[in-house]
Amino acid sequence: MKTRYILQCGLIFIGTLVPTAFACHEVELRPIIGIEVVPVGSSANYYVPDEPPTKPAAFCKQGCSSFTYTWKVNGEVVGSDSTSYEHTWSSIGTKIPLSVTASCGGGGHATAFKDIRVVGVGSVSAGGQISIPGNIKTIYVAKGSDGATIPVTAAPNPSGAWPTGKPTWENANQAYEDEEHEHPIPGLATFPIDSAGTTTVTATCGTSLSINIVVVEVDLLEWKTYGDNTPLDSHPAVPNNGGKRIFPGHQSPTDASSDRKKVYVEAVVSPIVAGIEVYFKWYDVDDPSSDTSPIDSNGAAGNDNRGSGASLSATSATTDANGKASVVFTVSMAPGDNFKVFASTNSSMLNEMTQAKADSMTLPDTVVATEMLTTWRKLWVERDSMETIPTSGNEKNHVSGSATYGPYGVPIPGRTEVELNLNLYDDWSYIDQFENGRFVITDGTTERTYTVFSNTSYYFSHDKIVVIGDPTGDFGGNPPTDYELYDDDATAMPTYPDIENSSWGSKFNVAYIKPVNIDASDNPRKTVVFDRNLDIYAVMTVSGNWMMQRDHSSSNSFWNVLVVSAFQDTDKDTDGDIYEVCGVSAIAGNACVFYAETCREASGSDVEHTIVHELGHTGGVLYHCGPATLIPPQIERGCGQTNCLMSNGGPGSDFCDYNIVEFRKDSNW
Amino acid sequence: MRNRTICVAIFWLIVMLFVSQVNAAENIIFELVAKQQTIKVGEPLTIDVVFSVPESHISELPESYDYDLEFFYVEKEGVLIGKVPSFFDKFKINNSQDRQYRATAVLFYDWLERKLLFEVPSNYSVRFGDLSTILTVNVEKPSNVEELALSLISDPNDYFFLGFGSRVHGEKHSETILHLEEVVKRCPETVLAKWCAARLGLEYFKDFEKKHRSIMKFRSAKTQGQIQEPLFDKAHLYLTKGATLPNDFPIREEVLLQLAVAKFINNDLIKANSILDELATKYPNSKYGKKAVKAKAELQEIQHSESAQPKDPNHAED
Repeated sequence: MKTRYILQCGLIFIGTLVPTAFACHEVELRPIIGIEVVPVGSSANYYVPDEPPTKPAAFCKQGCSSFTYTWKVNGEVVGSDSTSYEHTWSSIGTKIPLSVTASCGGGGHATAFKDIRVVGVGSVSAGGQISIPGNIKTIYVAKGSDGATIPVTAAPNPSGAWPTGKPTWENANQAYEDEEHEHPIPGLATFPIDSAGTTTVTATCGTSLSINIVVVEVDLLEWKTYGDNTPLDSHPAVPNNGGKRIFPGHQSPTDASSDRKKVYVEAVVSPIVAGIEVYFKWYDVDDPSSDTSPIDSNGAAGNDNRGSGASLSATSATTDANGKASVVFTVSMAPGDNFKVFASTNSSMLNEMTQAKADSMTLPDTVVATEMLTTWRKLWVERDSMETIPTSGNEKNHVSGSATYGPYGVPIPGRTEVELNLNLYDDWSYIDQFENGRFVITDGTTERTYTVFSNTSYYFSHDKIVVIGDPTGDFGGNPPTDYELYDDDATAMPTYPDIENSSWGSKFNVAYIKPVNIDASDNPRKTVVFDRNLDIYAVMTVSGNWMMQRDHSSSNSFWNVLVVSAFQDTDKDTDGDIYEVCGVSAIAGNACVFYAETCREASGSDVEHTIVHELGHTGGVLYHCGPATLIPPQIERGCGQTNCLMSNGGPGSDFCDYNIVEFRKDSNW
Repeated sequence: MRNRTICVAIFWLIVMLFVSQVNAAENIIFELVAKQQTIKVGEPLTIDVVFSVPESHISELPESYDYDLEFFYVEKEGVLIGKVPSFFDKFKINNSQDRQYRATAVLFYDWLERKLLFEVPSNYSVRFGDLSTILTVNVEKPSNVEELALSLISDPNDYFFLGFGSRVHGEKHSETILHLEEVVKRCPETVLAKWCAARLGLEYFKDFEKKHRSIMKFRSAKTQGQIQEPLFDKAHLYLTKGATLPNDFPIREEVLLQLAVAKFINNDLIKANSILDELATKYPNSKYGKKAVKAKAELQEIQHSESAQPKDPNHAED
């Protein structure tokens, strides 16, 4: 005002120097009162204080008492005849001049000025993004823990101070300098990010400006089958792992893929948005099948897998248009190894994960977990068999010769002694080897069969049999001399027992192993030369012809075992040796043999039962579990369970823990 | 065959009964006993595995204990070099007073790894499973003839045939037979040669039995000079050499039994009898020792029967 007054006086002074000038009244005007910073679009009242008689709005030194007032904005007359004026500020501006001129009747006048800043919301920013009018941004924020917030700021246009109480916030909370919320921080708000969803946050100062905030969380985390791998399936009820299982071995003997160990971990975020970074971590969680040694010596803690090489392809991935982010997990190969993957959109929260939290499933906020994934292995069973029993040659299963008949009823009533006129040798040379067998004779028209009651086993003399009946009498006193003598064998070869579909095959479930038959098309060579009495040592030392038709070898990627159906072993000596061998394993050969005829004869011996026992040996159980063995009882080994499937001679029905440990290995079967 | 099944069932009942009664507090220790503390490279090591059953465990001793598969662990200078299955399935009672049982094994070849066990001169240690004493064996450099013997049977098939015969080997490859015969021929005094002879003798005898199904008929024809059979001659020759193996060499028992039959065929009844006597006396608890008793009884019956018949003028003792 002082400047304007000096200017006014200056003009008066100039006027004194100009002869044509006239002398005006000298007027004084009080300053304009009103808001200098206003939100655009808002109305504000301005006035010149008028407090007559001592402090009137305008004062004329020459004594004028009435004044006219002219209000101008930006030089345009907007109001008159009042010391007050209300203006609606519709345009943003930094220094919009507001003036009022008081004029007196004496030609004098005075003008008061005020610069007004009209403010709108210039921008709203959060998470590094800035919304400006005409360009509203959307930001994506990882969901945080309970109570977590992010700042949202608004900047005025033009820059400078905000009008008092502005901007106001919608869907965000005004920030304060103090805890009592007495001193708001203009232009600053907080936005809660502890729940997922999309929110529009708006700052208003005359005009409004928004920014969209999307809080994203992992809503779903799932295992997904990788490529053309065997589809993941639900884990069987026993063991109680739950979740899913994966078969990471090769899918067939000809499969060479190195991807079978892989599985997708797919996260789906909510809300569904693309471009979100999802973070992943995996843990070897506790083996739920046991909490005790020897299977699980570290109790309820995890990090107890037996295999190695498990890994994630990346620690994070970005969501696609469907809100899905995937990484590839590679499992370790030992059956029973189990895993969980944990994910979050919030890397900090995920980094709070520990083994203990994974074990107890006490997860940090925002972190979600997959179901358990458990490695299972298929044990591919190649089934070969000895060929049809020959009817001639060294391996034929009968003795032929020319007989001499004794009298009927001697030495036993109802029976006849027959001299075979030869020595029963080698594997037939055992007393009563032919008991219940058949003695067959024919005269060309009539064939008769007699049941063998007993036989001798001489070292020097011709052996004899006793048959039930009277061959001499039956053939009218002239019985045929040519005979064929058969044991009571009844097993037809070849024979291919089915372990996969046998209830015994499921005994391997406890070790996370599934026996599977190799398809016939993958097992083109499936018959081996017939050997009437295959020696157990030939099997144990992987020698001889019995495994010559093997089509596939075993590796850690393809667990393969050869099961050969043989006829019977050589252990036929009844002179104190009464042990029946129904099956035997090749210690170093991933192969085993079961003796079909021996199994048939052994009372109650189940073929599949025997084979599963032998498969157990091929899986690394070298010893039989006690105490059901013929060894001195104090030299028991293994579990000591009477029901163990790997006990000797009369095996039980289930594998024991010691067996399971042998099977669950990260190496070739 | 049904009888055998019943036997198995009864046996299991008995086993389970005594298993349930034992006190398992005391551990049994297997003692390893070797006839020689020093052998030469390529020489088989015969080991007796012995244990005694404490009286507290069982009062009435069984004749034998069947034994589960166990391994001999062979170390050379502290490093495990072989894990060999025992392959014997029985411990026979050896001394009932001491309640002692014994089984004998021959350590020579690692059947699983297919390599010679004592390949180089050194000190070796041997144990039987986890509950045995440790046997120390000094293996020395072989003599020239022993080295030659070893060089003649270098193929794994040779070793399998030597150890198990055709029942494990499958086909009797002519080369294998030649290798073993060469050892017998060129290194006759070595233990290896005697072992080769024993195996060859048994195998030739099996072939002979397959070809000539009646011992009595062949004996008669041979006695009358009506038949020549190289298989029998070879069997007799090699069985005779094989019988010179040390007494504790496991295959010797079987060799003696077949040699007795061969002597019978040759009408050498005195020798046949003496061999059977030796078998029954030296190996009373073994399978072949018991067979010898039965064979002796049968032989005496034949002798008695033949002595009652008129003497064949062409019959001559050899």
